Amino acid sequence: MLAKYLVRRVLATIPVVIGVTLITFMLMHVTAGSYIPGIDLNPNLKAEDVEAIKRYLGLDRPLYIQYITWLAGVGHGDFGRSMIDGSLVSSHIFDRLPATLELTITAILLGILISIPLGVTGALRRGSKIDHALTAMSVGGFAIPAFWLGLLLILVFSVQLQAWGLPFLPSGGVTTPGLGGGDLLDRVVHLILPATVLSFVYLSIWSRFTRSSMLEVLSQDYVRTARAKGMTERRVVYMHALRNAVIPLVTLVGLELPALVSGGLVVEVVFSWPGIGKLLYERALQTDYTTVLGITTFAALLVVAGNLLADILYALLDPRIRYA
Amino acid sequence: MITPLPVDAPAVPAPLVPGRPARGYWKEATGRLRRNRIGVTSGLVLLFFVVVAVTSPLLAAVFTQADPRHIDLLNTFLPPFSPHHILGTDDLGRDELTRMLYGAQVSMGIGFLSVGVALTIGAGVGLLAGYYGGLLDGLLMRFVDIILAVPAIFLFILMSILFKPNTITLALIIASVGWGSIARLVRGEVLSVRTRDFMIATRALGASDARLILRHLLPNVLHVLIVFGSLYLGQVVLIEAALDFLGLGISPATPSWGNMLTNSETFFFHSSWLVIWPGVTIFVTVLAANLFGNAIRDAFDPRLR
Repeated sequence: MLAKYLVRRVLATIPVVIGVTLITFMLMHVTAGSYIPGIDLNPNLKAEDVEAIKRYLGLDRPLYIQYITWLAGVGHGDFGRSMIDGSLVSSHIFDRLPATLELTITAILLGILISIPLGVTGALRRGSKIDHALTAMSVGGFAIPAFWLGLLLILVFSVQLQAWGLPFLPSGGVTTPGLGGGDLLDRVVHLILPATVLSFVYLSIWSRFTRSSMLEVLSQDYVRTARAKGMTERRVVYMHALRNAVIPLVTLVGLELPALVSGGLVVEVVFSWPGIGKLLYERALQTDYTTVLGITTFAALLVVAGNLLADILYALLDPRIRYA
Repeated sequence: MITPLPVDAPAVPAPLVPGRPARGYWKEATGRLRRNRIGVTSGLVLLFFVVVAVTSPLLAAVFTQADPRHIDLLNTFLPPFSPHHILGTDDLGRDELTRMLYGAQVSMGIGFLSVGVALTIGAGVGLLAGYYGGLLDGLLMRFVDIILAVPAIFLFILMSILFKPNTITLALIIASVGWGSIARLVRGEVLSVRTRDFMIATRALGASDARLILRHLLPNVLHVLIVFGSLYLGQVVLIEAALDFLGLGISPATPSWGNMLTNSETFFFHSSWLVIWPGVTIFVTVLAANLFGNAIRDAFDPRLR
């Protein structure tokens, strides 16, 4: 039963993979029908040169052959070469991946670590001033444009503090360039502002979620039983209620895993964070289609793989899952 | 689960016990909405921005007498409350207030158009997939899976560089991703409504598929569309502002709240108001849209509160 479900689940991802690659490939193809926009209009190239270039790139072949060739390459981890500098897109991706993961994982961890205590506080003091303040904060945090929050934080913590001659936070990059940069402290200092901005949205959603989940659990019979047995309130809240209240949160955090690669794009741009998002943005402005296409496909495949992994883990961990 | 519309409800015998006067679902919902003070306030704020967007040329003619594209290099970076420039001027001496007024056109126009298109496509796909089931359902839902598997921000950027969008195409680009989640929600709702007795009864009376879908299913999933649509509006405004900020949205020649913030970090130390006005406006708009969406949700679907 389980094995059958796993096989079916794996097989079900094949059409999704084909669909995802087909969509990105076709989007790419409508750009110009060739990897080099405007090549046919270049007055410095003779017609036979254009033909030769196209033949060299395989663009003279039928579309479906081009797609299959490209897909086979992707299967081998070959996402093609950049149209700007001719380097491998895959090596670009793996150069930039660590910085992106450093930022997004920090933000997600920060979000979890802060949102749970906030949510519990809100639930325990329901209707109090603190609860209302937390609610207002999360509603506000959900509406604030991330790039604007980033600009404001740079204005206050980098520019203004520096102007006052106080210690200030760096406004961009992963480390201080040159000598003296690159140790752990330096990296952490650089991480503070972008991670704060990125975790803000998570914080807004997850703290609300923990609050309502906690309220629901606290009203259940076993909590009353625990209290009736004379258990301390602290023990009831943290040992019994919280454990069950965070289960739905785990699912919610799991939903953010696809954003590990793409979630920080705007923040990366604002803070000059050399991650995948910023790479995609820069290459998009330079109309480096192959790189943009490669990164998009890579991220989409990660999402598909992540969903598959999550489903398999659920099936292995939770026997109540229906194998339908 | 959901109170059916009066059209479908069997005639309710007059209650023997005097209770609340019987009222329809819509009256109940709009009544709840009207009693929600935060909801009404945020709705009015949203309405204010819509009115500004529709009348921005008129407002500009009356209050600022300036053209949003008029460059005046002798009067750059004028601070707020300068004569003739209530909100100051930007790096090219253009009047901030006029640009803010015109920016409302972009945010509100793209916001409502995008929500409208996404709701229409999403509802259509969700209704068809849920009603017919089988192969059509499988195909449509796999397609939704595919769309939602590609990170949305990457798709937006990819399409923006391909199509060099104007206001309308940008709205379509944003909607081309947003309809997927709506289709999923609608389909789920249809699956639960489809098997209810009134559906079977109506079919037995000989109603056609089209009639069943449009007259009986659609009204019963309408609350999902209203709730999702109102919450989605704030998201669209945020996405649009971010794309404009990145220089990938509408052309910089058209003033928008997002592209007014582009490059603002280069001069926000000496002219912080250029960063404050558009940012606060986006924030207030999205906040109002979200709060209004929450109020709508509480009013139309009290179980979700």
